[in-house]
Amino acid sequence: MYKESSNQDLIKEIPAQIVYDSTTATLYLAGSWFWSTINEKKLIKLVKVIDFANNIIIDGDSIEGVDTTGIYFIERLITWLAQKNITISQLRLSADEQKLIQRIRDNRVKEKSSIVPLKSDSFLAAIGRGVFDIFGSLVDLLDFFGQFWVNVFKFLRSPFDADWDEVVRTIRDAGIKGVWVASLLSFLIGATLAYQMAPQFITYGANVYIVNFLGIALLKEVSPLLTAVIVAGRTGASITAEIGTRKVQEEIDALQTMGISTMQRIILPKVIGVMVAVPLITAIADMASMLGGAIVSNSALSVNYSLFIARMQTYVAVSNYTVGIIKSFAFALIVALVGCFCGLKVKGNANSIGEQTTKSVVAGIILIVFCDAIFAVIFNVLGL
Amino acid sequence: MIDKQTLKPIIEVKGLGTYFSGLWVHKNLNLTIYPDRVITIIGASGCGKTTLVREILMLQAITEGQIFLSGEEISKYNIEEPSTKIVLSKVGMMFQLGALFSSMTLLDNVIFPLKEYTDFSRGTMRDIAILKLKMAGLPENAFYKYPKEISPGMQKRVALARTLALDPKVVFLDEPTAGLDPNSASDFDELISNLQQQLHLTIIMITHDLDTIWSISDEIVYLGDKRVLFHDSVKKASECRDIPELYEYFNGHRGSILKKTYLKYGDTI
Repeated sequence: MYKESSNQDLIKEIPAQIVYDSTTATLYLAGSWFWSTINEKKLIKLVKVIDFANNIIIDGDSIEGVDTTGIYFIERLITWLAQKNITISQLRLSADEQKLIQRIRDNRVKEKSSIVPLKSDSFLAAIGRGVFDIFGSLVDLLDFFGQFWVNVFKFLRSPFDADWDEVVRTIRDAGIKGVWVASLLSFLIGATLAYQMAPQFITYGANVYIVNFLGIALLKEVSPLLTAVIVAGRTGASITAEIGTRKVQEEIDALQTMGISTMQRIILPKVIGVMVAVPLITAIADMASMLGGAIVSNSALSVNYSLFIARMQTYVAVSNYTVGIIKSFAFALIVALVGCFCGLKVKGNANSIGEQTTKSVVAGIILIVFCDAIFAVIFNVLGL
Repeated sequence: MIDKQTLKPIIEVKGLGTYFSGLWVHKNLNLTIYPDRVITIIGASGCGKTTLVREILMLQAITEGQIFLSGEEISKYNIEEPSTKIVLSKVGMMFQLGALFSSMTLLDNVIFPLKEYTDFSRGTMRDIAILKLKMAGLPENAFYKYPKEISPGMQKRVALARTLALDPKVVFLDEPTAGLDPNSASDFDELISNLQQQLHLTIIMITHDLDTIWSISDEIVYLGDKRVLFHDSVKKASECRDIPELYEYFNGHRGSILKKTYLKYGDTI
């Protein structure tokens, strides 16, 4: 099939050509019929303008070389001619080429309908399916949550059986590595908030009240929320990706065949680790944000540091701080559980890991903000 | 065997040396491969079979020597350079685990190289891809499935179809029958030798499957001691007493049974 040219000239090949001689009613095929030398549009255009006789000869003697793509085009040309009711009285092609044409015909799809892609849903069906999917996910989540608590009680019965190495590793990854980002951002937010509010306080000559404002806003709301969002982005995503990869590599199945609970071995250590790390980060972020606020208060509102601290001791209740820390436990639980849940939902391909990681971060942040709103109501009722 | 004088070699490796972190993997390795046959590279684990193939495929840089593909010196090209793409499209590689793109349907997997290299219309690319898949023996109802949804044997068929999408002249197969059940393995052997004969491919494979070696290989290349120690027909390889390891390969407990069967019945099996 690969004639003389096959061993030479990898790159230089003559393009495939079609020439029709109307005097002898012969269609000459020439050049190399390789995928790299066939210009489909040009050939189609060329063939369409030819005024064929009713009975023609196809001469492929001067074809320099063909591959299966070339044969596909020759076969397509022959079929096209047959559809136009043009008979081919003679087909001069080599034995190899004829055999390949036959092979292409043997492999032609008989029933076109058998390879139609799966129909995509209509609009209404898509909505219906979406609702069912959400419902299914919620049921799964509930199931997961239930299993988790059962395992928590198992863990409490024999806490020394847990994988404490993994807990420590999670605390290191989520905590020590995450604390810098969280405190830097909290510091900046604290400073920015104080700076933005400064004109308002100055207008009313109420400079010292900046301390009350920052104490409540930062400790109760901003620092815990900001820290949780950062942890959702860092640790939540990494938990999902890690568990997802393990799922794809069948590590999870391997654990199960050894009779080891995934919950005990993989999920619980992560949840404990994150729940230890996040409140600690939040406490440090609280300090960083108040420091940022104090620096700006000192420079823009002439509330000096000793006054700032004194006001804080008198007017900012400790409950603001404890509320923030309590919330951070809940946020940590949400981030870790959503991360693990999405990780376990990964289904065997590379796309799925990316998809679930995105879901983990988005769902994590949404649930954190929801949870924060619920806490606001609860603490309000409790009068904290 | 075909008269070598009249044929031009398709792959020539001259004085190849590969140096890896304090160790020569190949040293002064010479290998000449003629087109239109099935060549099997064998050798102990870690003797550099895969490295050699990766070097011919320009996936890995060589330390010294030259590699020619169809008379063109490919070892002088910069591996990173995009212009080497056109050379690479002349060779195809089927990886051990198939390396199918998990996020695409089987049909899209085969269309992918066509889309990258050609500017045929979508319908044409689809037709060609369907043709290749059917030639590789994939049932029509599987075309829109994803790689995960089909058996390993089927995955290998799709991988072969994708490898053949651009009609390479040289096809490398890494352990084509590893992990397949005996029926699928012998079907796959048959498919390879069938396609080789029809498309006049040069197939170079790395395998430890003695059945595959006996049933479809034309030549054996034995790598050892950093170079090619033996390069001849399977029958001669099985009788070569000069290299004890090679003799053991074909005449060990497993090898001797197969050798007897294949030599007795020859091509009739």
